[in-house]
Amino acid sequence: MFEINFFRQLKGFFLAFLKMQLRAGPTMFLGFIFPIILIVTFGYYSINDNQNLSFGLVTDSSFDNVEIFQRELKNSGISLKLDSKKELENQLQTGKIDAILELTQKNQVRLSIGNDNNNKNTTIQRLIQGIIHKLTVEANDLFIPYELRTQTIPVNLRQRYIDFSVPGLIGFSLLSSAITSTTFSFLALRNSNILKQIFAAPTSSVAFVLGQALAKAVFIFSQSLGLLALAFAFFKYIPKNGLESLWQILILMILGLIVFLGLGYMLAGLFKNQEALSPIANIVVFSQLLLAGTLFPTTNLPYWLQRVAQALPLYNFNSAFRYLSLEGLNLWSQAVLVQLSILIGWGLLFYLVAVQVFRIRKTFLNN
Amino acid sequence: MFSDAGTKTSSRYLILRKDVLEKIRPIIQVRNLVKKYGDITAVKGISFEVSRGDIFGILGPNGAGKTTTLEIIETILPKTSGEVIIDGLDIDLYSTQIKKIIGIQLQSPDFLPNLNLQELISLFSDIFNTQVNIKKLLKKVNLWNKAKSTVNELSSGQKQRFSVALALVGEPQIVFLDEPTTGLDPQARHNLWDLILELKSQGKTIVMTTHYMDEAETLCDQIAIMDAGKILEINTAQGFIEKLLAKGFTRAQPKFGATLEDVFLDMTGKKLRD
Repeated sequence: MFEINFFRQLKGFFLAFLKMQLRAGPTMFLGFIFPIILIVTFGYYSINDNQNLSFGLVTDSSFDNVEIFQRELKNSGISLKLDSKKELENQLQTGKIDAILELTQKNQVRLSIGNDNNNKNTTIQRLIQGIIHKLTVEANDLFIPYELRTQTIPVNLRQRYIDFSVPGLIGFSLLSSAITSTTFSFLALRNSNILKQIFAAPTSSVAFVLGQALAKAVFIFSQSLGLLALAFAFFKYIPKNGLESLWQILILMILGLIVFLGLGYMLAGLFKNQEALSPIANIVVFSQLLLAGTLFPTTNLPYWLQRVAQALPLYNFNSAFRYLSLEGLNLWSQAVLVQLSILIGWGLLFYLVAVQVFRIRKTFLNN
Repeated sequence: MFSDAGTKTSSRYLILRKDVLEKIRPIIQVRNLVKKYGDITAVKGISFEVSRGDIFGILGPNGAGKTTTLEIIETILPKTSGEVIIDGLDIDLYSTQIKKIIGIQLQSPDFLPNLNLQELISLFSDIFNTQVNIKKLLKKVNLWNKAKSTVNELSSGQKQRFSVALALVGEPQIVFLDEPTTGLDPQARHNLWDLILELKSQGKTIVMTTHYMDEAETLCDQIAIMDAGKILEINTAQGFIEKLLAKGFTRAQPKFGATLEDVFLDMTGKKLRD
């Protein structure tokens, strides 16, 4: 009698599922087209309304009306950061804040802006002029001649929106593809006689699941590479340190994919039918699209919601990605490691639950 | 297991006996098989044996428990109680071993989508770890011209034949066919009969269910008639008929020496249609 060869089975399922994926229209569309639409839409979108502006503020007691300035700026929807001048200049240069306002000498307002985005800098200048004008009118009993001095500071890497959104979109495409392809294909297999046919043969369930997961991983990973290439071709998207960052990003993407596939298998195991699974899968995918800093920075959210958002696996993936691509940090730098360990923690949890659930529901493979 | 203990003659005697035993031992032994789905008992303690190389037919109306019985023997469904032994192996202990020597055609088979026939056969030969001549196998079921088609592009008859082809990938000793000819036109039915007889001639054991009496009469060496989860009787087709005639049964004399099917096949030919 012949012996069963695990690796031959693994290879068989891997190739079969790879071919199936390549020939299936809907998954292509979900996994690939949707993030492309998002990239194209948001690639042309840029933040330049003052709702999202943030200023660094340097104050000194010799300036009389600091409180009034702060109040007016806050009323205009600008978030303020108080810090030393040196630190703030550094932040302006790396695009974390949009301008620095120095209120250190009597009646002198010093504004520093970047030299990159004229539109935005005009808006900022008008805003400050408006505030000075308003204060002057209000204080008409005492004429205070505020003097505005504007200085531009060369900005090294001005963060464009595409630089912010590409990591989020790659993460989102990994997540949504991983979840749709695992959960729904598992259900489709379970609801037909396909599993019956396969497991009536001497099939190793590990070879079956692993071969399938590997095929999906290859497919989803190449999708994401396509997205990266697209962002590079059309929006000149380049990670900060070029190739040095790129290979680290690829490793991060593989890790993220493994974690998200785990989430998919967990959901596939937890929910028996499509009616129960569809809304849950949608909530998992789209809540993270909106909350996990995918398209918008979480800093705009209320504090409590920020804490929730920061616990989401896609958030950890996105921030690690941004540390690598925007700030040029390494995978082993502390900030990235923190995000990675949370992400890996999630992964362990997903696979632990998935294995437990599959053990309990072993019947789904044997029946 | 047959040690050298004893004299030369006795050991030869033992080897001979083992050989004979293998041949005469039924390849399938089912004893008091029971299957319950909740409160419903689908199979109510049936027993039967299938001899090696036979075509064994299970006949019965819908809901008789034919498919349930088959799927338990095929190791797909767990049984509630009873004993099933396939080629000397207990189904509870050796299901993986058993899966290697059986080939299964399901009543309503589904296949992995978007793969063509060639690729599906190649996947199953990976599962069974066998070397399959895909062309020869597909030619055997008249589907070589469809090798690059997906299952969705096949007619129901072609699908059934493909399903039989898949059942043969693992070079099985026992082939299970669950209503293999249901929904087929006479040409396709006769074609499948020829295939089944060819498998028998290769020494394979075949267990099949069917609704068609002529099919059972033509193909089966042994027939079990099943109803409401019980086997009413097991006999040969000839045996059943003689027993009925002995009870004094007479059938209205056929008006003609041929049937309408004979007419149909005479007019449309026996060539397979797709």
